[in-house]
Amino acid sequence: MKDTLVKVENVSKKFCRNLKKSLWYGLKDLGSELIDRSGRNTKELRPDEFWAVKSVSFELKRGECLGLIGKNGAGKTTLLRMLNGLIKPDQGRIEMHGKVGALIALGAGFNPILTGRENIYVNASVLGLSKKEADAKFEEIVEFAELSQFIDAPVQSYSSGMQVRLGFAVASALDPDVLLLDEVLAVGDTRFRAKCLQRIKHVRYNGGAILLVTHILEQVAHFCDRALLLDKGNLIIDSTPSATLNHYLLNIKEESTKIVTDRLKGEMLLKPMDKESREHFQYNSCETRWGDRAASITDICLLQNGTECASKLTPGLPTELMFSTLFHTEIEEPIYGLSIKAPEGGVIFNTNSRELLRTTRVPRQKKGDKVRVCFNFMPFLDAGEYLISIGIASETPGGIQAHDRRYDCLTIQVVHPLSATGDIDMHPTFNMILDA
Amino acid sequence: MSKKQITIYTPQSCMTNPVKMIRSMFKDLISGRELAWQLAVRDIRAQYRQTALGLLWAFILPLGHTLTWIFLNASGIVTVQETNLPYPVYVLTGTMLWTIFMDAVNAPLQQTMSAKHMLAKINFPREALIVSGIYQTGFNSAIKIVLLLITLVFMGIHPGWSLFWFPLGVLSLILTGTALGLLITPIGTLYTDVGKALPLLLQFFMYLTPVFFSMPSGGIAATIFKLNPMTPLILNVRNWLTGMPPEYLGYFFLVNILAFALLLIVWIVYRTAMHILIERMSA
Repeated sequence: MKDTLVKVENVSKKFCRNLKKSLWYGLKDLGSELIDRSGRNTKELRPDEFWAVKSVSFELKRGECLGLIGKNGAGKTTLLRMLNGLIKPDQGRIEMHGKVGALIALGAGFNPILTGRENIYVNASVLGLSKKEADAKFEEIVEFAELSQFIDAPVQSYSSGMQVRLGFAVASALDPDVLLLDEVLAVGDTRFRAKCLQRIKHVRYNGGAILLVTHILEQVAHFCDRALLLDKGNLIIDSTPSATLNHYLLNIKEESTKIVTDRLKGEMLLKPMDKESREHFQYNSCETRWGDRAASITDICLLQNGTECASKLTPGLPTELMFSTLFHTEIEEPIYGLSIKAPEGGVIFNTNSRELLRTTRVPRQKKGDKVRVCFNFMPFLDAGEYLISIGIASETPGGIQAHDRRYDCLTIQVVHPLSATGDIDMHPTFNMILDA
Repeated sequence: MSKKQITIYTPQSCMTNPVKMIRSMFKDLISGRELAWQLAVRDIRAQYRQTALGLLWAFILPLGHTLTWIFLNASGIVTVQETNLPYPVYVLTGTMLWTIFMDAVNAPLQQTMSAKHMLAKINFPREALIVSGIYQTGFNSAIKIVLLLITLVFMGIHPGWSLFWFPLGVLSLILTGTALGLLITPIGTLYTDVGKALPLLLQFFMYLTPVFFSMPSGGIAATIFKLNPMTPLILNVRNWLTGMPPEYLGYFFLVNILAFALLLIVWIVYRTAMHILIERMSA
């Protein structure tokens, strides 16, 4: 049963640019809130005010993961704070069902002088766990944070990573129905991050719903079923992750990419694959495709045993994955990527050209260049279906910029003469060793 | 799945439904009980863990005040009217009790300001902060009182049965202080002016209360002292502590009732204000 856990109807919120005025308005609001039973005059903007969130409506259902993206100041955090009940909407109505957990301020209420143990109890209490519940979950929290050796040391002696780990461990012990996440997945090392994501997925499988605010677009592509795009307080689009991400990259993110990609709009987006390759092998129509399209990927081809566009692969045999990249702008050092996922979403294998080439550099590509690249690998996979993702990106001062990411663009079928259960084929044999 | 509670947020003022508001006020007070305790324990531990003298600090500051005034009086720089108790006892008990009241006044604003970060990001029962402040004031007061009692015995004062009333007196000091402190908290959170002016005002207030001086016998000062709601509190609590007969008892109870009513009203204001304050105090 898919029932709604969060219902947001026409919600608006105004903010003030000027601090002095903001404080004065605050005082006035307080007065009118107490005296005027009809509520504040919320319809009109006073001087220096603007709508931080304007007429936003959406729903979030059980089991769903909704991504919320937008530039800084687009109103994402404001919206989240309203959902969490920290501030009141100026217009509209918000309905929240069940227990709401927010991973927003990790480690709130930590006192650096106190030990990790003491801080766990305080933090858990702030987040709404009783002493009894905290006692019951204490071991789990410490174990998840991987801090059992340091639990009686003062928190000020922890590294910032350790503090965040402890904060996350406490906050995630909450078991909420609705989980609000604000940029928290950008913390800790890669391994811990993976653990956090696992934890979060758990909420979803247990019938909760997740609202994820993030700057890391990959996370939206990977985890969300749906994504919202906010710009200047307005809800621009509420659609699939790929539609929302593309809209964001093409129209909102930066003016420069907009020029490059304007002419691609429509044409490239509507034609995820060129015609002939679509006919040939198992193109996955559910692919999530996004990127700023400074370069785009076409003509994907999978080769094994001399068979072009093989749809059925034999494990362990050399396989080539080829695709063409068309550059629409100059790119200093493009990075080509490949990953293979199990059908349930776990990444089995991940590589990219930068890792594989190590010292050699991929040449700079000019506008209009068309390059054909090839990954060679041996799919030591067991029988079953797998998803292949490919992509092109490059390093920019602001981090990795995705140009064309095609998540789950191919479905491959691995056939095995001796079927076993599992993901990997380790080429097993079996011998009886008899006593001499 | 357990029964789901549904929370609804609208722009409507919570004053539109007072019954619901009062019910949720007490609900939050109860659900924040444990949190208040945890916060108080956290703050008290942290406060004393980094000191060498530890708990003694609660006693040292009022003691310093006392010594100053004993010196001023003894050296004749300031001449204080005759008091019904030996002057050192009078000043020591006065300053001790006044610091208890002062702690209670400062606590709500202090707690709210230092929890700013938490308030802006986490939804927890806001009442817990106030209750935690009361716990901390209570704890510090207990230390002061124990040390004060020991000192009094050394000074040759034996309180007797009236000591039975003394805890009630201390509670009314904390009650009045909390009500006043909570009254200024909403504005004090918006404008730091309030926090800056508060120590000055309290100091002035102290000189209008029989802390260092006995009740003036006549003139405008006598009227001010008599009207000052803190006068019956300080006088009676001191009298109960030292075994003297109570004074202005009627006014004492009136002040308590008024303080209680004020506390209820400012609690409502504080609750209502919190959404607005959070909106303004963080970006």
